Amino acid sequence: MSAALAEHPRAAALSAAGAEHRWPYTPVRDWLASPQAAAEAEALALPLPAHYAPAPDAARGDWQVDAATAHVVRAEAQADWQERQWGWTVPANTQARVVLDTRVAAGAVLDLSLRAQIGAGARLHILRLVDVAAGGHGFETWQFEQAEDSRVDVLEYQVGAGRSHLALNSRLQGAQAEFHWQGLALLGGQARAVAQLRVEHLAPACRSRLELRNVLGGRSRRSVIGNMHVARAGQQTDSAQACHSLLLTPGARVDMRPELEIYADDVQCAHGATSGDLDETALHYLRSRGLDSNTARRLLLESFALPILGTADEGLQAPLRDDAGTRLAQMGADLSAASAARVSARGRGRDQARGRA
Amino acid sequence: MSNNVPAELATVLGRREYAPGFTTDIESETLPPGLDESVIRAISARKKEPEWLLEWRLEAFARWQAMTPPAWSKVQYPPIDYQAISYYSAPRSSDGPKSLDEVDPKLLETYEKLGIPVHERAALAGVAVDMVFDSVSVATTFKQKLADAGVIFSSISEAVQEHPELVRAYLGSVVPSGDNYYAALNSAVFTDGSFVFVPKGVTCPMELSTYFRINERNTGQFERTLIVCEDGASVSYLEGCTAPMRDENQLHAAVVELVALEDASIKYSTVQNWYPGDENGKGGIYNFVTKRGDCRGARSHISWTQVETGSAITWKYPSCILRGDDSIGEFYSVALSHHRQQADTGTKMIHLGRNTRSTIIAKGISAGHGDQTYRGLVRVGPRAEGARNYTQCDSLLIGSDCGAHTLPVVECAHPSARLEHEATTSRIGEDQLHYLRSRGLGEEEAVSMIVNGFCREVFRELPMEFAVEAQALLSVSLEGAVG
Amino acid sequence: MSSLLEISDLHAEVDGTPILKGLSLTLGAGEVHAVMGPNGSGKSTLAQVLSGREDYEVTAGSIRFDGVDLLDMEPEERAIAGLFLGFQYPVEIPGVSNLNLLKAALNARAKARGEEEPAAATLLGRVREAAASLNISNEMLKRGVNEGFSGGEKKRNEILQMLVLEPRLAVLDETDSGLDIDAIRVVSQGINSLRDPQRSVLLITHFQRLLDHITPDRVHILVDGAIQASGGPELAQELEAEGYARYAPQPA
Repeated sequence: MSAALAEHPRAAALSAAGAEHRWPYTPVRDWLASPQAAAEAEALALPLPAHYAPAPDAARGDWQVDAATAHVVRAEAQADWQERQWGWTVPANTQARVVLDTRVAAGAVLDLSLRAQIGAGARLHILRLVDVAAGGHGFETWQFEQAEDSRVDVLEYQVGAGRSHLALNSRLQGAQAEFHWQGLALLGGQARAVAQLRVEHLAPACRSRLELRNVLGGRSRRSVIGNMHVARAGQQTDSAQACHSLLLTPGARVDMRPELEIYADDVQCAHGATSGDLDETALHYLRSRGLDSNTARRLLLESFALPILGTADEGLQAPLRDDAGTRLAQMGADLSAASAARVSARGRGRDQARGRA
Repeated sequence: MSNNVPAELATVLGRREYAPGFTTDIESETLPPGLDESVIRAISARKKEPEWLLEWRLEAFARWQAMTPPAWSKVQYPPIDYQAISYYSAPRSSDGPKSLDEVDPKLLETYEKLGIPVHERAALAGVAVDMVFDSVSVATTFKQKLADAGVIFSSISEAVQEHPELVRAYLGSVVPSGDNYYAALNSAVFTDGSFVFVPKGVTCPMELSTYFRINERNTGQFERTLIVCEDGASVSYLEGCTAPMRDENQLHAAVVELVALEDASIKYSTVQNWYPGDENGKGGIYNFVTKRGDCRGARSHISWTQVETGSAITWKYPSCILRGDDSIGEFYSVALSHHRQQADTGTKMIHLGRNTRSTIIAKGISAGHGDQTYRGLVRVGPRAEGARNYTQCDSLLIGSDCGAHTLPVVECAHPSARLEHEATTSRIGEDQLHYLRSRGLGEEEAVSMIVNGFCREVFRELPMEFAVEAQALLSVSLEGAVG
Repeated sequence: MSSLLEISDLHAEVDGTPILKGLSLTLGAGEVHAVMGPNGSGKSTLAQVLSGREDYEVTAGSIRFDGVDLLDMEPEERAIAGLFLGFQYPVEIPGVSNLNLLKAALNARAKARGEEEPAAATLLGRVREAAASLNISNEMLKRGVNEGFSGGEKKRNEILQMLVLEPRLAVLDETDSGLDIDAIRVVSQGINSLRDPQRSVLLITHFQRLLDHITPDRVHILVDGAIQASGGPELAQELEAEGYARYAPQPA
């Protein structure tokens, strides 16, 4: 099946697009051709509040977002190659809330293209849920056009051990448009998750914020390109991006490219990136206060990850935090087990050394 | 409220004067323009090189011919006609470095005019200078004093004759001849440059300095510098560069290799003031340089400090390979692009050893139509346990026609690595300018003070006399920038 | 003849909004005057116009400083002529040390007057002495201008600059705001130490409390862009008791 996916006409196009970005990941066709281990991780199952109604139109193609209700849009690929081409319109001065629930099963490919026009003064909130199972591939291209005073807020919650690639381009075409992205990725297994987030400040006094937090276990690899482009017309731009990663295992990797491309002088642009493992001093401190190492790890992981979810709708916060909490506890426990194994291996080594002496 | 720095400044401030823009009228022996194997053989023969070096050059040339110029950078320039450049030009009177008394007084005059201490007795205490004029080294001061300490400081041509085993052991060991397009070209045609060898346990008794000068029309300068510090040795090396004002672009494609063995320390400082071209972008040097340091031994330390104010185009990424455990790499940079200057510069810190540390402080200033890119890579390999990096990139924009870009790449493959990256972009605030003026400072002085403050973290890494020069240079380079 | 500062019928606007609407005020050499007014009355605009801030446009009236037209002068020329503004919100200038700024400011002055630049040791002595009187540490002097200073530290730093630069007229814009009682005392001592027959001070303030420590020769009430009343120190006391209400502009 994998080999067949690699022969899909879109595979070549995606490969070419990936090569163009010179990003250090295996070309798409190779990915698709190589068999992947089946999923063992828990699938994402969030209870959504009752007022989130399915939006069948949204998933069919063109959709004029109806501001009255909150919507759930599902993008699922259970098997083979699934292509979706969506065009959404958010009318001027309306507010829309959408949960975009993306599921890709092992052996399936989701190829989603989403275009959204955000009218003047409109607001669009998207909760992006992504679960790509090991052996699955998700390719998404999002293109937003934002008119003046519009605002887009995306909260991303990504789990899984599969491969995903998101290329987002938000064009702030009207003055004072705002784009906010907050992302939390909890990845394990052989996950490869690439996010290319480009925000173009094309008009005066626009604002953008990107904040991504990654907790990486197993042999997962996360790649983030944040590209802030400020055109000559983008005076009084206010832009900030931050990417923080925790690497929990020796096999985990992160690549970060927080880029600024600036052609206007009256701008405030900042970016920051950090990477590291769990802070041993903090861990020790917590344990010296009587917490066992599992609990201490979980606490530290939660304090790193959960604040990102704070911008979710009230009804969604609790299920999101519960799900993330469970996954983080599992990642922390795996870590404790691994470090215990390392310690006992060292202990054995010592014993053997002593035995020889 | 007005958002621009006062417009009348343009008229207040004068045009930039490029003080080192004079030419020296000296008879030169110059190879006709063009590049093929025979040119390389001619250069090698002229320098009486051993066979292995000629072979090395020819191999590099073969590689270069199969390569294409790098297209990934942000700089833009018309294709260079490599057949229109002369690859060797030497003052006729110069037959290789000799004692100062024998050097053509016109040459010494040139360096004195540039403020370079050429006479040992009058020299700034503690700075030895190698002077490279177009393709050759014309003089090296304090050679005897250095030799007494066991330090070899000479032109690389001389080192090839006198210490071939050392040159052969280290040349191309950090920047291989096929590393990139310009490095390959340099490897094929390099004419001179400096060689420094500090033996085991020796701290070089004085600062070493090379002063590069391009004089002849239609020549390129392809110098090659090699600095080796053995176990426990240390040296501080300064590099300065100028060229006359000429309407056509001139190519400068240098290679600098640093090797630091166990516990060795190399501090390399550059104040680059090649002719930047005029305000319309006519003329100026293309500065396409490969600089790389190899922290080969444990606890070794390589520090790059650069102040890049000149050149029409700067394409340069002084880097450190942190191979030895506990080794340290540093990069401190100020790059300024004014008028039509373009600078694409940054660094690579490759963490391979355990507990390796690196620091990157890059300050970019764009004015006029200048375009400035910081491009960096911090890579932590899978064995680099405990690696640390701190990166800070700040851009200062002066005027609304310039550009400033920050393109860092961070790749981390070890969980215990701690990496931090910060970047900001700002401009000179109207309120800052007003504050300083209300304390009695003129507009120009206020701008210069703010810019120097912006660069302070880098300037304090420079040796004292260089820091003063750098500050002055920055002020001159920014004249007419605010308007 | 003895007036150092003479403001007559000053009109000024910011972004097209008139703020000062016919302000007149005369300050003699050696005098300390206070300008008091509620928020939005034009106090800070007055200070900024005096210092030559470009965003403030003077549409009518005149300001003469020691008989010379001040409005014709660049900000640095005003400073060199002996005018000092203690800013309400002093700006941070990273990387430029306080010492370096003071040195540059004194050198600019010396150069303009054709004098020798003060020797480094003299300068340092002067700065240290002034700094000590204001509880400003050496470490603070070495830091960038106002870089990471607290509100109170910034204000003390302004007074330090004033003491070192020895202006003929110091205009202090809300220097007391954000200061605790001890800091007010320290700052007031600094200002009082500057008083002599040749120097004048214009205190711009919202509250009367600074005037408990510095007794002004005259107090002016600024409301709606013009001086509504002037009097002796007792005026400030009245104001403290009664507020600004009675000076509110009468509906036409």
